[in-house]
Amino acid sequence: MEDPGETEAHPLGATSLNFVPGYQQEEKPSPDPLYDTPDARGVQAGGSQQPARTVSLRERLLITRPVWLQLRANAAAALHVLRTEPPGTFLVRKSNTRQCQTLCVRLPEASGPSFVSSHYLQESPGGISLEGSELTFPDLVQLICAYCHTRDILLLPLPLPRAIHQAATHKELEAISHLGMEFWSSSLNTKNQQRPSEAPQIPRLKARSPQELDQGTGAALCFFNPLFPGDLGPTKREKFKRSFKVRVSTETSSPLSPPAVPPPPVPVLPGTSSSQTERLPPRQLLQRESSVGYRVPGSASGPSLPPLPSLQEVDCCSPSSSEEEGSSGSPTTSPRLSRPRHRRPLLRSMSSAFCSLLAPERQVGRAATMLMQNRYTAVGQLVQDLLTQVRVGPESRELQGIRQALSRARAMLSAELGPEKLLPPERLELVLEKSLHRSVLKPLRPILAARLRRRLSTDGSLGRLAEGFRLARTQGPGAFGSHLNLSSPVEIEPVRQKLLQLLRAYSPSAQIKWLLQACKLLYTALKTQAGENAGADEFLPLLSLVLAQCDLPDLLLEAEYMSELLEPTLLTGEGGYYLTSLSASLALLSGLSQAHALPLSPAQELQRSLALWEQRRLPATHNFQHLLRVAYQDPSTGCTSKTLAVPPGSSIATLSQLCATKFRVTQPDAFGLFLYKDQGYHRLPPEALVHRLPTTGYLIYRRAERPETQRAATEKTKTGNERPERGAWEEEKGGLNGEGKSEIAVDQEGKDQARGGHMQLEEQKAEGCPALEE
Amino acid sequence: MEAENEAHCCPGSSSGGSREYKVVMLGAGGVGKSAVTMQFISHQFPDYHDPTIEDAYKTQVRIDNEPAYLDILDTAGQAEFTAMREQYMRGGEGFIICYSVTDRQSFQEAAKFKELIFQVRHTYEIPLVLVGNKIDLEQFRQVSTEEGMTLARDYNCAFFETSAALRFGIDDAFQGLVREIRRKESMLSLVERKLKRKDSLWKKIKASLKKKRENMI
Repeated sequence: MEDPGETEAHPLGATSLNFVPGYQQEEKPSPDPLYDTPDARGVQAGGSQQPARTVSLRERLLITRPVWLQLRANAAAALHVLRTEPPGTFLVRKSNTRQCQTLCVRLPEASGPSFVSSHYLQESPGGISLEGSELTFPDLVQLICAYCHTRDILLLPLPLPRAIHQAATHKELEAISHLGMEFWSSSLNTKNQQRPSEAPQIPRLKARSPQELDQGTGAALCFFNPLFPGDLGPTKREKFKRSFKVRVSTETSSPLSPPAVPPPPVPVLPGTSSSQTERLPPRQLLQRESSVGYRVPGSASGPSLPPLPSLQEVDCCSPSSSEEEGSSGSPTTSPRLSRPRHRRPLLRSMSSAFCSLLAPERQVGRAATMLMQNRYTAVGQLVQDLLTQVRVGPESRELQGIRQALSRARAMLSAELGPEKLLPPERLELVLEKSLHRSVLKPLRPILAARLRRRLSTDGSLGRLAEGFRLARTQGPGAFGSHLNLSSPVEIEPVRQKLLQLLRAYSPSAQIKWLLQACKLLYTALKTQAGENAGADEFLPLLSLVLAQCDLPDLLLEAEYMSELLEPTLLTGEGGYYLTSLSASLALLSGLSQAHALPLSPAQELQRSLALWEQRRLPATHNFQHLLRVAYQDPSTGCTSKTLAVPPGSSIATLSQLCATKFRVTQPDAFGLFLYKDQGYHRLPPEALVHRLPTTGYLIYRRAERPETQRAATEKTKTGNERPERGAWEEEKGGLNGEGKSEIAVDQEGKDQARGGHMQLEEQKAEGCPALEE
Repeated sequence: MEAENEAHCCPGSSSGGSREYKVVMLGAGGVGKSAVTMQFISHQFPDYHDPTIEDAYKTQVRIDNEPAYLDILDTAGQAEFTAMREQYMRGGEGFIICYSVTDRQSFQEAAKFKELIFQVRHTYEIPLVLVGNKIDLEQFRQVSTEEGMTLARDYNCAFFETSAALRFGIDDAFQGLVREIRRKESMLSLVERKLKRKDSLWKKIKASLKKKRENMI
């Protein structure tokens, strides 16, 4: 098997990179041509620990050229092939417009408007290179080889299709090669996602266990070549930048709605809580009264985690399972707890421990950990780079960056391990998130906590909080305008224990569970003191008082740590609610030392805090985008308007750029955004914020010419005359756009006037569409 | 408002004037709705995929020697935008339901639009055409022509297999739809003329019928 490999490689590979890593290398030192290229040094660096592979990457590429080199494929065919392939899959085709070879790479789902990026290949006497890159290669195969290892200007390194990557012999590769273009649609090309029906027919290609899988991916796929710059260190941050897809919905109560202000749920007393029937659906209590309109948080990170258990489900004494370490210092049992503890018989617990070793969750966890530790996998690279990068130095908003990297890594892991079908998808996500926490947050936590502490003590927040604690302790409930009795120390101790656990945990999911448990204890206390109707107004002062008693200023760091690093979808559930309560409470306490003159009421404070939080949170995790309709005055393409998704905080300049790309304008400088209002065009200043636009009027993207007023006038009459032809649908619908405003624009926020009359109906539809039908 | 509505819904087809047809492109994500639209209007095939949220196009064509202004609404196929669906389903006069012959899933989705439209319009008498796109990708075909024809029979509508990339069958699809709109309209006016001959009692009934219909449209 090796011999044909060598002979095959020789004639072609005189100057080639020989990627044969591992033992084979040691057995017979690679032929000297290997050292012709400096690149080859990477082999030693990267290959030492890899298992033997008999077929080098270059050979794989060479043999399967008929598969990926599709010079005759047109753009449509390339798009078609890549549409169902995992990110990074590539084809080389010939561009008709440029008459040169083009590398088409499948992008990750959410990385932009287009799912395929095209890179022209420039051929020069010196060799071949990607347009925009400085790296030149003797031939195409070497170029592809290199980009399998380093991404350089690409968004991600190129992976080989699974079957090609896994083929063990030249025979198999040749079989694949014979398929040519057909390969992509053949059963050999097993995709990571979907298509359970297309089970691989060759036994060798059967889905493997995660352990095997780990070896497999590590082997030929990637090794790091130190000569290629741009793939290490801080530039990786670019990878975090992702644009999110928009989600639009008019549902009144999306489960993803951020927590709102209604009183938090009052938990049932532990004694009575066990019956299923009494359990309230956790989210029901957090539903919003009205829709925020046309925006709904869209988490692009694939399937979301199942919601946290509601307070009722959180057992006071059950150690958090999401973090093994967390449970070691078992929390003291609440004395009020009436439910008998279930002690597992020794044998049973032993056998369950044994089973857990073999449990699929463990397997997945281990596979995930191995993938993450292996720098030669894409996810491993991401994780390891993240670790290095965070250790190297602090960056502003680094927690957000980490969260995004975590989400990204989870998506990658999920794509990798999901097809193994060891776990149901939801469970898989949970396990992956957990192992990500273990691999990333556990080692980083001391660093991150130290940085947070430094920052918060430098800006005086910690000091203010400590002072607030002191004041609250001396002033008692009066400090918050509350008439509650001070909780007795007996009640405070268990809460303090929970909070101490929280401080010790590294995983935000575990932390939030401890927080929920602490809150549950408080609610129980609250109910005995203030009766069944106790709500947020009572809860917040109580929480503040107890926090003051517990005197743990470090909670301030934890509040930030959790709110930035928690899985975004969890933030919107009950955990998010209590996290907000915690933040609000801490803010209230911090404010005590300063604002004696005008203390805000707790409710005001909570609201302010919520608002602040939402402001901070939304851009980072939910990426709410506003839908905006922009009309376009262009005679050539016939496109009169487009609905665009505009991220919050965008300026008119950004929107202008977006319009230029979307409307495919050749001279963007000549165009500008105007507000059509009061029968005139008003040019919008580039620095203005899109979501601050006036709610009346229409957004128009058009050629910006000097004599604006004049033109506006003619334009107006023109559109007026054209009305029957260009009459916007809106006119019939809402009757809003009375006169000749053929170019309609939508203003977003969903709430009102979005899309002129359109959206208003949309809104009504959400609540009472039958009314419209009548 | 009412009057205007009426003017749009039942224009005198004999006037031959600038009748505007509101056409809505429906179909799953990535089947080529935008590509079909762009080919039809500007003879361009986009070599990129940029998921549409909602785009509007206008063009004037001549069909059967009668000018027609087409106001085409290109909609989102991606599931996240389905909330906007009802809106344009209510507004459209004719629908082009697209699927990709290379994507069985999209074909199955195409079969669902009949009910979706019915839910909004409460009638099956809406002008439709069924379009199976991407036939240039013959080697990837997953949906046969026969299957497409069967679905079209079920829909009781015309069926076209198209290739936006090669600009094959595109004009036929749009022309077919406009013809269908015209056909349904002339049938309607025929019925109305018959009604007119009846006495005033009929007029009243007709008025109420008409009102209902307008609300539905």
